[in-house]
Amino acid sequence: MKDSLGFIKISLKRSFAYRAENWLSMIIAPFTFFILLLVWSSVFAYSDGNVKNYSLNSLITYFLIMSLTTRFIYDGTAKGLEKEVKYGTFLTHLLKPKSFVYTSILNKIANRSLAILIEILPLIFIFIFLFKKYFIFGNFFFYAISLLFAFILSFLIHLIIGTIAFWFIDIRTIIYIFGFIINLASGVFIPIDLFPAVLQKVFNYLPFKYLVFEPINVYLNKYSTTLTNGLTNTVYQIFLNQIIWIFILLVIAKIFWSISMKRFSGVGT
Amino acid sequence: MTNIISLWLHSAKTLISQRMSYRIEYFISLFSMLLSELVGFIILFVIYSSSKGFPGWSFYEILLLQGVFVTVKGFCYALFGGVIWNSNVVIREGTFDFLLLKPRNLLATFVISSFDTEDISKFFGGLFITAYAALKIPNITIFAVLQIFFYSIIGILFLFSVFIFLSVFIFKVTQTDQVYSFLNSLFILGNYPSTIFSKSISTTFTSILPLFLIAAIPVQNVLKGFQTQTIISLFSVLILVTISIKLWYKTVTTYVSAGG
Repeated sequence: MKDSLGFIKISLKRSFAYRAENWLSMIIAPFTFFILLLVWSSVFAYSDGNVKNYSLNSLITYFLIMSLTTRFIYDGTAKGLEKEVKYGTFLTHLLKPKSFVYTSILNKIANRSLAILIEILPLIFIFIFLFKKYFIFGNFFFYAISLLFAFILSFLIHLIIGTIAFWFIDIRTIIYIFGFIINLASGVFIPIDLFPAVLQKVFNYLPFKYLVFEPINVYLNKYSTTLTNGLTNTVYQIFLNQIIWIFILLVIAKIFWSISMKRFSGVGT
Repeated sequence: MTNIISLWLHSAKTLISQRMSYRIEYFISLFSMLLSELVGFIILFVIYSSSKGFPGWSFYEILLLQGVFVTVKGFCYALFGGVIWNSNVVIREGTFDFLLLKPRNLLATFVISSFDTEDISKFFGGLFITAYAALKIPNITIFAVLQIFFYSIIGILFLFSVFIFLSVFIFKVTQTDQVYSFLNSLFILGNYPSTIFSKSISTTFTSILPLFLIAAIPVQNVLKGFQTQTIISLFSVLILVTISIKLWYKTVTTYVSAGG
């Protein structure tokens, strides 16, 4: 426990090195929403206030919650692992008493805890203050639960992507391409239910929508919170699906990790 | 001027050859740059497939506008967009000194050394989309498309001033990637015609911060008739370029080689 707190303390100090970055994001995020609001207001005004299942308010709330969600689940494990493998410094992790995976998850907890304090909470206040007219107050409690599962899912996905570095060394572009696919299939760019039916079907077979799209749907009360009509279309079904994906990705991550350890030679570039 | 152009060509050639030494990685990187530009087109497709779209604009007309926007953006990013990235690097590492020692115009050297080999794909991708959209719009000629790009020259100057302003900003705050977030947010607006926004927004981004000059005004000039704001915005751009260059030189004097 003492070790873990030590790791978290170091990570917090490291994350706080470039503070301007966090403050600036607090100015830029509302600016982005202002622009999104301008564009979508025009679309909604011309389409009689309705685009598929969305009203202007629900879509703006979707984007606001999306912004908070992506900040909370942000993960730098793949980038970190790539760097360590490329420069050969990963070797030091094999000599340390705590594994890379262990320190990475602690790093993420520390990093995101700081993000809650200096990024997410101030942003919530700014959003509510500036976009109160559009903001829908949803189900924070169930959203928070779903977000915790999304946090773990995000870590496992990025850990698996990071292991590709043991094969190709420089995987910055691969990480970028995966990032694009994840953003597209998780509903960061646009809610998944606005995509054509074929794409929606494809995204249903992937774990990515449980990172952003489904937690936001939970927030927007699109799922029932009672089990009177069974498990289907309830928040519990979403939680269950998230847990199943965590289990599947955990198995994949373990397999990838054990193969990677056999490949690693500690040379670096 | 000839000196600077030949230096730029030499620098671009060297940087491309350097990147080509890892060919596959370079081509994947070009592809990834193109991917990032797909977002705008995807959103446009979703807007038109799930709503009536934008008043007075067909899907292909806005696609043409976005194609022009990506082409101009790709051109600018390749040519001088690297100043943002480079400002971050040279300030943090304290390596700006190397440029100060070089016997050429400081800003020109800084811009030339920032040539971005990856963003070329955006330029070609944008050209492809522009050509595709132009073919789908009835009665649009090659001359009309050339006319659009001619108007875009003012937009290129505007983007140059924006990049220089952002470089100044990085010199002040040392390390930040947030300027990219700022640019990406601003560019969302530039992807759409000025006519869909309120008069105040349209005037602000046409006359004061003439973002619409990159693609919206050029396309509107050709498809919907000449916009008189084009002339006003030309003056704004000239003022912005002058101020940005003066400010950059003034800021550079505060550089202390310490790194950050």
